[in-house]
Amino acid sequence: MTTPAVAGPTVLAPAAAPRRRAASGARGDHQALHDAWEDRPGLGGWIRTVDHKRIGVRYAVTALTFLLIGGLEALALRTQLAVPDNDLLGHDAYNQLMTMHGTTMLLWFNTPMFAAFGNYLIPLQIGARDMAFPRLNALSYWIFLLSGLFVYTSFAVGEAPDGGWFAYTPLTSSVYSPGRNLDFWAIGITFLGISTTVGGINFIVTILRMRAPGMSLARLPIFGWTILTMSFMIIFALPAVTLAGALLEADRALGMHLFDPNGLGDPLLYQHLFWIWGHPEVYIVFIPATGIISTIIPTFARRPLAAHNLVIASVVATGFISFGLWVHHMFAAGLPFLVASFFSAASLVIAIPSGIQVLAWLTTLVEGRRPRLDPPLLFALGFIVTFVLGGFTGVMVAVVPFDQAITDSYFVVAHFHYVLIGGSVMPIMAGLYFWFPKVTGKATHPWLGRAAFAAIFVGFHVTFFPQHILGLMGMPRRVYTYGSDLGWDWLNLLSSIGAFVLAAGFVMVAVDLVLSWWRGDPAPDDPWGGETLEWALPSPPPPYNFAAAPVVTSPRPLWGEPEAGDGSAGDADGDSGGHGDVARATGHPAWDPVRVPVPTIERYEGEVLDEPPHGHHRAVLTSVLDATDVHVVTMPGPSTWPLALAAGVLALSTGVLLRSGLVVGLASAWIAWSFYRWHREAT
Amino acid sequence: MTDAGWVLDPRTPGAEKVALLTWLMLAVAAIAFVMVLGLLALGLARRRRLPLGAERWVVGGGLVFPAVVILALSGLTVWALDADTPPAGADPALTVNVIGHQYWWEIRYQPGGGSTVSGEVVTANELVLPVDQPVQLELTSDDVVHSFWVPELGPKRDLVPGRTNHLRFTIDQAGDLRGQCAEFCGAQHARMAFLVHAVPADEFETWLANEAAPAPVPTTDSQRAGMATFQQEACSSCHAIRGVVDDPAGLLGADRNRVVIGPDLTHLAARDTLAAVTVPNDRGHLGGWIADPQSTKPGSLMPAVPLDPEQLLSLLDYLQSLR
Repeated sequence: MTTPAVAGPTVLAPAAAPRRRAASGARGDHQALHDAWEDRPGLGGWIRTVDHKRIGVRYAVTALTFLLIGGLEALALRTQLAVPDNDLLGHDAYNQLMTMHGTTMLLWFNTPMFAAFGNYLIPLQIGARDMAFPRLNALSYWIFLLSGLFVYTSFAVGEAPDGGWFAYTPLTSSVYSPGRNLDFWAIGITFLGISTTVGGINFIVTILRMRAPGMSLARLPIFGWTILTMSFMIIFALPAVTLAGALLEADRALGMHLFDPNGLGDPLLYQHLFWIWGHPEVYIVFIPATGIISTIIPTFARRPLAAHNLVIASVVATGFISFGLWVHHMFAAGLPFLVASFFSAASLVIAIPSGIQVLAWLTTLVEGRRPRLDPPLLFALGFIVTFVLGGFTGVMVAVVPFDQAITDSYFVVAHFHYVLIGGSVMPIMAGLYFWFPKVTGKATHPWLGRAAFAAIFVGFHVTFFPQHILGLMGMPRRVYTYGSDLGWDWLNLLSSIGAFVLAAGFVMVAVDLVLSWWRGDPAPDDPWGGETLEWALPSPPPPYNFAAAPVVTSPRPLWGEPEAGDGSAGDADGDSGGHGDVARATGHPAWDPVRVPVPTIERYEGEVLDEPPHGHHRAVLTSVLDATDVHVVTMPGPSTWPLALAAGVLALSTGVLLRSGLVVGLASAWIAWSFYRWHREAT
Repeated sequence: MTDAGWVLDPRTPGAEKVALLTWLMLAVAAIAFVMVLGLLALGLARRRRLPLGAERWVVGGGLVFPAVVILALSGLTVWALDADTPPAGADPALTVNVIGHQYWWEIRYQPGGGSTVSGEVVTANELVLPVDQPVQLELTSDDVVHSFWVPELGPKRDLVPGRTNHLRFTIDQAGDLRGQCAEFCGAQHARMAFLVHAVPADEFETWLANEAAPAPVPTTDSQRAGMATFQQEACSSCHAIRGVVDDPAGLLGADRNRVVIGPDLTHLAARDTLAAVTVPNDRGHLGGWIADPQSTKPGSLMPAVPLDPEQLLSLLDYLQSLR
């Protein structure tokens, strides 16, 4: 490799008139592209890959593994709580499992799962060859994996974090938590935070600069808008929790007193730092979920999303408003009402953009064709029902005096499981089923997915609905047991039974996906008749995605919908603008947007996307707003340095955990060396 | 032992407003949910055009309707919160300091505010409060963050070390209530409860006067032996019995504030429960608790004090005399 270190993209002069390629040359191009982009076989290729699709799948497999682990933790908790005065788990085991359940589910499953979807789909949906920073992408994954291994090592040494998933001080200070449990937690989340933050940066640059020519921001698919919003939220929110974790560790390891009331510190400072991230975090995992739903429902209803632009505005508004809510987690902490009232108002107002989205989905369904009840749609329906209920209890807990009555009780446990499982996990299941054929080229089992949905839906409500009542009956959260004279017995038993049904549903999903990937029937490239560019590619897509950059002239490139205004759902009488013209022109009735055989994508065949010399990877950059001003750049290729750097951060974390200056020093040197070699390595 | 609480059984004006608001919100939520289900059912049926167009439905149902509800709720929030503010010219409140510990509640009644007792009265884990009289709780913690929660009495409030939070209410109905710590505070967070006995004012005064008095003098030899055991063994390093051991282990602070390690036992026998409402306060449980605290409440900070059987029995005689 003789080209200099890639400090930035190489910009070639834009091609003059595009040359049309003779059909007979196409196969040679594709083969050369394939050879340039495909990873080498074996362990070396597996470790060094920067292919966003492989990384996306890895993210998904790892995150879903953490889902199953978190689920087992939950089953242990629910079994302990099924009967009063139970001695299955002592307080020590329970508090560790309780902490790790929450931490694992939100940080090591839910957030990375959207990195999985985003990684796999964004380059495809925007017509790009890869993410903007492929090696950084690989680094994100390795850090996610290694930080998870780091924090789970705590179980192996019997010192899993046990301070609750938000780890309030002073309980989590070295005075009241002298063991290494909370060090695993604080270091672990700081470690993981690097992955999330870096991923957010990657998505932003990818979405803003690598969209196919003609895909202006107005034509960005709605899933892309949600990933873009999520990513901006990540880069603003993650520093707060990274700081909270790092400062907690500083108090513990270096004897600082930031959060120590005896040392002029303030426990509430920790709560603020944590929740400034913690509240946006739950919207970080909700907003991309709405993007999945906004993709699935129009596809199944065969009708563009109603009020499309209003929905996008709602997504962005939700992202902004979510930063003004965090004190609603602290309404009982004794802050003045004037302070609380601002956050209460914002917590109420955020219901409005969510309401807009719910009505958009419902009206799309009403005005669309009767949908087939396939698993993606079933999970989308489950999402609507469950999330709406969670949203209602959310409005209730935004009311300060009501919240002060039931915060830290099982009512709020019920609320957040409704909005998280309903609002984020069910869309994840929907998305898994929706994109499974594209990722694997296989179809899922004809009825196992539907059965899994039934188990998850029924199991979920049986588990969590009774918990609203338990909260009103005075049952606090995070209790490892309760007395038999309190009247909580039957509701707890019911909830625990539901948990097993819910778990069975997830196991069925896992079985379905694994077996179908292994032995499923082949699936067509576009089984659902999707709107977006990934459905134009083979299943699974080739490693280079698009041989030639598609030129996009519509927000729904595969629905043959020429521009009619700004791509909104249409005028007041519900007609979807020019869509009707195309439908008429191709002989299909209006309101029935079967995919037009020749969609409005023009193949952009030019010199810029010829087979790359020396096996380099090339991709197209475009301008931020309108995706014109096309440049070709050379992309970084596979490398071992992301893994090496991640391993260095693991070593550094271990050094801090063990309070070993030697290990910290060696790890720092290794990290610096890895940075250097990464930077030096050419494409 | 008392039944658990119930938010929708309010015993103060503030809690009444919250209960009313809760029922109202539940009703509105139920109606809205039925409407959503209705639209969903339509969505699963054959396609139909919405009158006025989809966008108007989105704006009407998704923006206007929630905005109206939210505006109403904002006003109702202020209405419901107002109840805790004392009206002008109200009687000074009975003030009680509640200090959280891992895993028990230190309770100190302050003089003044209508109390007939001139000094501070210290007890633990059980609050007796007068009905129809404003009460102000001053809440703080000695160690980690705890939270004071009695569902029938209105909002919970955190006990944060280094700051003092306030909770005001007037109980309007006599009865026995149960509260529980509502902020995860460590190993035995699950067993850190407390009792509230709301009683008529005269009964309260009687109780308070009794609590203010020093410990009953032992009347039998066994009780005297038990008192001696208390003084000589490790018990007196952590627990005060006013009139016998005022200052456990000589831990008076510079400003003569006692550093508190364990609950005040001066009138232990007047309490219904032990170990923060973990077990009933009877001879068997008391003996078990003293002999092996970890089997009753593993992770509690009370150490096991090795005693001969006779020592334990006479100690029980003494402690059970402390009404």
